[in-house]
Amino acid sequence: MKLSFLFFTLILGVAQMSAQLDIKYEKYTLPNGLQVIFYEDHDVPLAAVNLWYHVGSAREKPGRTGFAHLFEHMMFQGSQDVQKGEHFRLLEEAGGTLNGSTSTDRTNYWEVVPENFLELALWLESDRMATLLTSMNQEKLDNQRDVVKNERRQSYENRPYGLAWETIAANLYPPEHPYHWLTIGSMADLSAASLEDVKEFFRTYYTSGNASLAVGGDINPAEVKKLVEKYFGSIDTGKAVPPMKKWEPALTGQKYLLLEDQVQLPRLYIAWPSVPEFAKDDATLDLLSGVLSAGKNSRLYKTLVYDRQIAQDVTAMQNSSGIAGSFMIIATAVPGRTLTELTKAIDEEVAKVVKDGVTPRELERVKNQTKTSFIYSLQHVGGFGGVTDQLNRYNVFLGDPGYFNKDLARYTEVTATGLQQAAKKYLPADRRVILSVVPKGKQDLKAGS
Amino acid sequence: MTLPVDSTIVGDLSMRLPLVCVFLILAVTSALAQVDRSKKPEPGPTPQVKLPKLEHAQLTNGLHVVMVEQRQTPVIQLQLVIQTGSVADPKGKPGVAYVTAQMISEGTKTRLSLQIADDFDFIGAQYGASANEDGSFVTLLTLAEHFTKALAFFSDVLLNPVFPQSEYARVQKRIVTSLLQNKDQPEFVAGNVFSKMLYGEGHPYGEPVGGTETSVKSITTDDLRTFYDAYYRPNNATLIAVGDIHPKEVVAELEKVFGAWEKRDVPATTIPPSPAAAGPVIYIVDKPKAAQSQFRIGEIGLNRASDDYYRTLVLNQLLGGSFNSRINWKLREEKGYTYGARSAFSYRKEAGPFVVSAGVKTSVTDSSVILTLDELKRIRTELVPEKELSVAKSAIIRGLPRGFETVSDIARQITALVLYNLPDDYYSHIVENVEKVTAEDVQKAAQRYIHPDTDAVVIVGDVSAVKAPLEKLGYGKIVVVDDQGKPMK
Repeated sequence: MKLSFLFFTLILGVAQMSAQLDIKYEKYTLPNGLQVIFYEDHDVPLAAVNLWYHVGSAREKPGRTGFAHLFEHMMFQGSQDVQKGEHFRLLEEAGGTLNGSTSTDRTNYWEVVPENFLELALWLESDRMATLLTSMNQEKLDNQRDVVKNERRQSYENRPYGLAWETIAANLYPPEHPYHWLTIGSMADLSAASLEDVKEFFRTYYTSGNASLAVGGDINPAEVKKLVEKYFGSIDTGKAVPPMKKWEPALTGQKYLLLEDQVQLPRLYIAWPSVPEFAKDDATLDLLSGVLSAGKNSRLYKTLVYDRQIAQDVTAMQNSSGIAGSFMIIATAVPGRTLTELTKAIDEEVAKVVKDGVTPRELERVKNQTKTSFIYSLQHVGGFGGVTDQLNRYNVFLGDPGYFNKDLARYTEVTATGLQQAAKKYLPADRRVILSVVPKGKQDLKAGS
Repeated sequence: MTLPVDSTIVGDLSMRLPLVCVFLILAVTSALAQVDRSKKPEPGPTPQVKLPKLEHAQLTNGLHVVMVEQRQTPVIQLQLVIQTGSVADPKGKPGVAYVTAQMISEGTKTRLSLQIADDFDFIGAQYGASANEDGSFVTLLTLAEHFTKALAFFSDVLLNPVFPQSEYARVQKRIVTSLLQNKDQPEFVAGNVFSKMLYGEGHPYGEPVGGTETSVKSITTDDLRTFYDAYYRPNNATLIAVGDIHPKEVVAELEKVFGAWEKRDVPATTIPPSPAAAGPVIYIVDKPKAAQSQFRIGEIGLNRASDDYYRTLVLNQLLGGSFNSRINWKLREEKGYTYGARSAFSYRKEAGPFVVSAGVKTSVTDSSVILTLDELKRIRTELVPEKELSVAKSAIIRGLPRGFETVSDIARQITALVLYNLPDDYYSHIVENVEKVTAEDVQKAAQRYIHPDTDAVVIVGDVSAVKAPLEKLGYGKIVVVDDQGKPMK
């Protein structure tokens, strides 16, 4: 990872950091529409392959929630020239690692291998893009349906507060909105998924024209270009996928919701509709979340956890996705405290930001934290959040793989006034979803009357 | 930001590498054949090994420093390894080592808790402190630009903590509450009960590193000061520095800030011998209406210094250490009973546990236990096929460079060398040591360390649904216990 930086220190001893990242990449498009990005980094003899398909759970049809993610699992079940289990075995034998994930808007697949196994990784990715359906069958589908149901049990149903997200999504977004449900989907819809669904989904969305391939690390671009041509060049492009329209829902009032769970302590979730990823105010809201909850000196942590000790934890976040976003504040009450008390304390702190704004040091601190975390994450060439993943993220959502410095600038340019205005605009006390998750039989701990 | 609810193909089956430092120099592949997808591409030539460069130094007060100059990114990681962890917790007070680590940043002679946090946060430095059975660890990741400042903050919390009562009252309550919350997490409960059942009451490996609600309530700031004074000593510590800085400069900077840290004789810690096998026995912790059962199956394994280290490394890789390993393949890819199953040996200063773990659908709890025990038996009785063995060995050998990508990765690898007193030339022998493991070695290691007839099985799940089918297995007695491992009426 080569990063060059320019730092300026000025303004009354306050560290004013301006980092310029120098990430050199090359991008081109194959005749079949596949976008290809190269990134060289010769520090460690590793190569990273990162492939994004611009499809996520937002494309699912009614009655088939969870399908995009189930489909992701099917991509690991072998293809024409790769037996079931071989995908993992070959990469394991190569000393590589891999994973894939599905969000509302995209599905990504990646491999990190010793650089002399790069061709293997490209071959595996291309074989499933070209020939997945030739070896698809009911047995594989039934097996992975069971696996995914177990994923749902493990990560949602058997996890404390695990059903909160689903409840919030269902109430923040109207039923027709594609963010109304989570990527994991419902058990009933997973049961309903058919082989025909697999085929249709593959033909519609897993086309070369709907994909972006980033190859990075200790690579020779001229060589890799030939390999990409060899393995991906002949893949049929399929029909173009029309883009999804932004759909930012609005709430007209407060919705109080209640879940009982096998938990020791009640937890509060406050959610507001906000803005999509990369939209105006997205970075501002990100920084606002930091001012509210990053570190001991953040507004909510200091008041609720440090000073008053009424909450065990508190987190604020801007969850922005392709066509919409939400801003959330989550806090767990300590024994003996109610979620009504937490709501009141949170509202007071948010009101202070709306009324008086934030100090220059608070804003600078959260900007510095954001920038340094970003730089730390770019030490990885592959994997989730590594350079190749970021190149694809910028390319798929913005058409500009080299958005790194512009992305940083989104944060650098946020002003205290902008932050205050965003708090006022996006965090109204009278239009939001308030979910209480309380221990069984302890409804008196919930928020609201 | 994206929602923290994205779904992945592989969950907690993280395939962390063995702790070693080898750089492989690999040649570029260039053979371009005709487009023929049916032909699996062959890799380039066999990799050669190149050693990383560790620099050693000793400060005037005896503090040992290990450094790697790594110029690729303008960041620096510091990691202080204290050679004492929860094993030295006073009797009846598990959690002291962990709480001490938590508390050193809660106030120093010159700075209050909030200022310490602000100082780190303002320059974007990431500070952390923790403990495990074998050691205590204080970590800092900073931009090279801010190194001097970050080091001053870092050394202040290490050298000058005052353990203020007012801050401790808050931290203590917070830890007690988080221990209460751990009851909600079946994975956590299963792990805790499993350790307790293997090592029994009073053995330090049977006690939770983070303490219990009762023990943490009984820990005072005097306990923390006593632990700190005894063990946070330069002669009981090693400082690892990796990143964008010259070793000479590191040493010069360290001398300035760590000079005042005084040597003192450190009390020796002894670990009692491991008790006999815990099973065959099945312990069930009730979680009514649980959607899944979390199970742990295993026994006490071996220590880090054991000659069988590499044999068990290879053994575990193919048994339950990777996605394609026998146990995950059987339970997930063949049966669809789980989102992921894995096995692991914990190599510690003394013998740590061997454990198989998974979360399975409630209705197949008994079948999953049986299938797992069958795999444990099979690895003892049948010689591993050559191909399977070679895949496992290749995975370990070829996977080594992935463990050295970032400054944090490198610091983590060196930590293992420091903690387990492994020589620098340890690196140069990894490949040959793994390569020479034979199918017979794997079988012998399995016979020595895996005993499916006398294992402890811990299940956190719905007793009303799983107990009767488990009774039919006839695997020892079945005991319903609470989340601390105490038998229930």
